[in-house]
Amino acid sequence: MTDAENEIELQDQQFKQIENEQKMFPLVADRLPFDLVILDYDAETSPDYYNKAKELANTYGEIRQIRGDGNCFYRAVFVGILEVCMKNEEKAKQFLETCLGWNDRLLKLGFPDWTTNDFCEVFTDWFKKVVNKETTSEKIFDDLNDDSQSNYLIIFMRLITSGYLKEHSEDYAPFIDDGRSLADYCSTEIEAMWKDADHLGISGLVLATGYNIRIEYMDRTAAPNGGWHYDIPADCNETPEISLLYRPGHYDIIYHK
Amino acid sequence: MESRASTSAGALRALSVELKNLQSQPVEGFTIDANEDNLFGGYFKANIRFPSNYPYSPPSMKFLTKVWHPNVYENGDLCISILHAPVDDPHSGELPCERWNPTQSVRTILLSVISLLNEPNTSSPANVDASVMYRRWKEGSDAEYATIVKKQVEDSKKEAEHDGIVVPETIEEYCVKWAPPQHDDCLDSIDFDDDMMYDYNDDEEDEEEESDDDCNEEDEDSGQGEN
Repeated sequence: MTDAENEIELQDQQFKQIENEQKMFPLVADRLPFDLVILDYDAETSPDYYNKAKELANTYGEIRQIRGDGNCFYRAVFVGILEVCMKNEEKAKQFLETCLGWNDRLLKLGFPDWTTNDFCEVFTDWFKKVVNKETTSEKIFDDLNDDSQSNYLIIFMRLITSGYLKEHSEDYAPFIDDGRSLADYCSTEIEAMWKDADHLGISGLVLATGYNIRIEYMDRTAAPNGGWHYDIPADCNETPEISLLYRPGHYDIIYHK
Repeated sequence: MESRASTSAGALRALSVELKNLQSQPVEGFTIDANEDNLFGGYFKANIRFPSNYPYSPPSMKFLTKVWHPNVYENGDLCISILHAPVDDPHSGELPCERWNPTQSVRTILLSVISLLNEPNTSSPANVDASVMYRRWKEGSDAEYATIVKKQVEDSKKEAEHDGIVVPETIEEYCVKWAPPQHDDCLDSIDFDDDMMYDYNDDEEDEEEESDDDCNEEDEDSGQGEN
């Protein structure tokens, strides 16, 4: 084996290990008190994080943890949207329309039709049951925690993210470094499973779904205006309905008090 | 696919849909020009193994018939980028090329394989000897590559005969469309106890430009044109 192959092999083993550790967590956990986040940090050894967590606890009452499998951003946003739709039938119908429309939009962009159609159909068929109240909250969260079901739905989220970026390739291509084309970037970074979302993925998913999000950052960087959070898109007027907590490399959903 | 037990419901579902699609619209090989002194008419069996988390992770493909080719390991393992998940390090020196993602399918793999057989990639050979030999043959300085391949084609014909397979040798034979017997439940037609196997016949390399792809109706995006 060459050095490069060796390295890939080692990397694979490392990924396997992380994967197995993560598999002990549910894909989508129940809503739990936000105070849990404070317990993750020690006031003495990591005061920055501890204090940030305490301050966020004033605003947020609950957290829903998402498995750290590289899909956490997509899954967190998806679950956030679902919760909005489960409470609001109008919004649910609207989101279904958006999703149905994506099938043609993706085909127009040249996505392989029959795999794409399948992902779209499985997603919209599943989501129709939510819209028509033909399923229960319990069943929905069972599905979200069933690897094969849940991940099929996640692929749809990834495809529309990629689709949105491709539809606006002139806007996004300049942000891709290392000389790759946008199409290549989308194929390997967005459409491929278990790849973390970076700022392009975040922007693409938000605009593809039409759901604005707020991200509270729990790293050591300060958000603009001295606040903790970023709203996406930055120019949205209302407070987004979905809030995520970012801790280095990972997203969970958090809920206002 | 090792066994039913290790295969998730999602993978089975995805595969059954794919199988149905491949049966109704088989992948055609590239066409051949029988008047030229080409190497054609080979019968190469391959085995595609699907992981339990297909289609999120790629399958692997192995030739069961001996194939002397720059991108096929001596044990038959096929080295082709579409069968690899994207590597995390974009600076690893690998050329940006087509990688596995869930929009790929057995169809796009087969199209990539046909393309690879047609045009070996000597920049990252799996079989260095074959690669060097191939280059010399292309330069016209050594005919051994052609000799070996020709012998493999001849051997494979015996195997085809043994298996009762008629290897197509003309464009018409190659491009015939066929419809499978209809099953109500396409899962019936997957034999879960054995490895999934797609036998497909492929003209052995017609490396010269004579090969023309007129008949290659790519109603699917082969995934090659993304860049």
